[in-house]
Amino acid sequence: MIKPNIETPQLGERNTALPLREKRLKFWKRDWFQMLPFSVIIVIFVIVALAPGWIANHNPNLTDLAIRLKNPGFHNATGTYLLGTDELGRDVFSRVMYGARVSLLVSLCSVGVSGIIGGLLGIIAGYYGRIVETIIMRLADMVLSIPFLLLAILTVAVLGPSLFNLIVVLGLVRWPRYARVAQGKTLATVNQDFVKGVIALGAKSGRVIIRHIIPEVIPPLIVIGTIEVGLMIIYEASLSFIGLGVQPPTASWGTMLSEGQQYLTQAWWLASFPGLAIFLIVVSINMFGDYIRDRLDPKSKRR
Amino acid sequence: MSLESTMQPINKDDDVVLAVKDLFLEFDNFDSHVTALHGLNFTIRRGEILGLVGESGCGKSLTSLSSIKLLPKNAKITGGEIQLAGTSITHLPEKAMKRLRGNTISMIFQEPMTALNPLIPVGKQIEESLILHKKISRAKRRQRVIELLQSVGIPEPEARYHQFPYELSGGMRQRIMIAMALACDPKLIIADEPTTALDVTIQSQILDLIKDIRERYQTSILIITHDLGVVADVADKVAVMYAGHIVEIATVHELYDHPSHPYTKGLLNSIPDLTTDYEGELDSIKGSVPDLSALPAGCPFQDRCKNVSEKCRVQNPQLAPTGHADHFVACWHPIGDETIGK
Repeated sequence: MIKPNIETPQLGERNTALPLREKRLKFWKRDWFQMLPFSVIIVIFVIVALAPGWIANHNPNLTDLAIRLKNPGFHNATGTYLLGTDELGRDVFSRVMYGARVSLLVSLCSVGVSGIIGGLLGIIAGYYGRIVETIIMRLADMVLSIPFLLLAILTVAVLGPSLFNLIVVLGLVRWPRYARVAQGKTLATVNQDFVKGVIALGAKSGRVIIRHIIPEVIPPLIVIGTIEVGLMIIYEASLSFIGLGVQPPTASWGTMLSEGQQYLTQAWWLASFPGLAIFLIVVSINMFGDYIRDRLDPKSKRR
Repeated sequence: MSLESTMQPINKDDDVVLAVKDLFLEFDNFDSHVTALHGLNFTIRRGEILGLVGESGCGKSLTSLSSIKLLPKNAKITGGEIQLAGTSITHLPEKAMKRLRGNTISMIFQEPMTALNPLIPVGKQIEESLILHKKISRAKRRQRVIELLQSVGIPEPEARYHQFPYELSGGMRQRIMIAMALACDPKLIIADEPTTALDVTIQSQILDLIKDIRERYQTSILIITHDLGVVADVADKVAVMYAGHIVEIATVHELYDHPSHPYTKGLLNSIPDLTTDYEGELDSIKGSVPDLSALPAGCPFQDRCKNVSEKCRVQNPQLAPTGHADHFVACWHPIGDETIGK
């Protein structure tokens, strides 16, 4: 007798049955390879910033006027100058490596500082409204209305130029951008039914903010933050350019960029390589930010 | 005739879960001053379902929001009293009110799509009110959530616990909402148009669930709707609202069999009936709702009423018994009462 070869239909392997933790892990892992090149770039830059001496083959501040403005690949008794030399005969490659430290430190820290200040103030303004909102948001408008350089000069004049003060200045100048987005998102969230719902369940303000508002506000702030990283590198450069930021001879990508532009017609490599470094790190961080933003939105799982 | 003398005394009854007594509510805007609720009176007993019906803007939702004290900032209770399970909450401070919300009184919202946080698994959201009001261990909380999911008829509760709202259908989400409202075993659940956003088959399932919950837990339910069919299905008692007044209140059968207020009658007539052969138009109530900021003196329904008299233009009728049991109407010329001259 022939057995009917019919298998009992299996319920499809739905991810619904998976415990939450596994589900989350699976989700975060998906499409990870898209992020591979960007992650590699970020990791390389972080290593370089932590230990530039491992890779750089020259002292970044050692001048030698005999070999000023040499082409990339220039070679002499002291070694190879991979990316050429600058107007004082310093090795551009080594300076780019050492510059990573200052540029990344300043940009990431100032984005962190301004993002946290701005995010918190924006949430408070959006949640409590009324007079609190007026004070915070008008303050933000005021900060935005003061020219960036004027505020920077003022702060540095009071505090004195240093790396730490540079971060403080950038944090003070950039928080309104986060505050505005955070306030808008908070307002939108507070008026959602689910927030009214948890209030109707008897939740206190602190709990509503932490559990329900902050998770809504963070994704757009991450996107802004990743865009701001690039901007902060440029801002650091312009402050350093007028002598309020990093003090020479310390290398930073921004200062190299602004010094190099004077020699653009004779020595393209002076501005191009720090520019390329900025471009690479900014693109990588932006892509990474987008990736994280997508992961934080549970609806994007459906794709 | 004053109302207090006609209705049962509301303080002495242990069974009364919600008592609203002569409630006035006003909106204060920069340029206008609107009285949205005009002296409401009603009670809900233990295990009773009261349906509050009326058209948009008549004050149904405001009545429910004042019972849980979640009124908009510019709204103010200017008179009367609300008692929840024996305690007056009219002037209760916000902090004490927070302890009652979700615990003694809870709410089911209209839109199950937006009333759940899209970023948090539904199990965790049901757990929220347990965290807020009950001091029990995490394992026990989880156990309770699974029980709740089961009791609102959700299959595979263990798996659903971890799902996000977008993974569930509208009917499922409404069940989740009901589970949230039930979590702390409240005495009263306010259901603000719980079935409006659902399709008809799911509607009847949810209504069955609501009735089932009343049977099992003896929870009182205040159900707000503009759908008379919903009310007929679930409610024990119905209050009909018009322009901030309760114009008629009665048991369901009494109201549908002997509507006394012309407005109630009009509402019932405007429901199309499959067995009747309509020639031309369906019945409707002529005119529109009066502007709440400029209500006429006397009865609010006077301009749309066929039986309007001089008295209606001058004096606002109060709820008074009709002669049938548990049936009150605020009308000078109630239908079916031929003793009062026209």
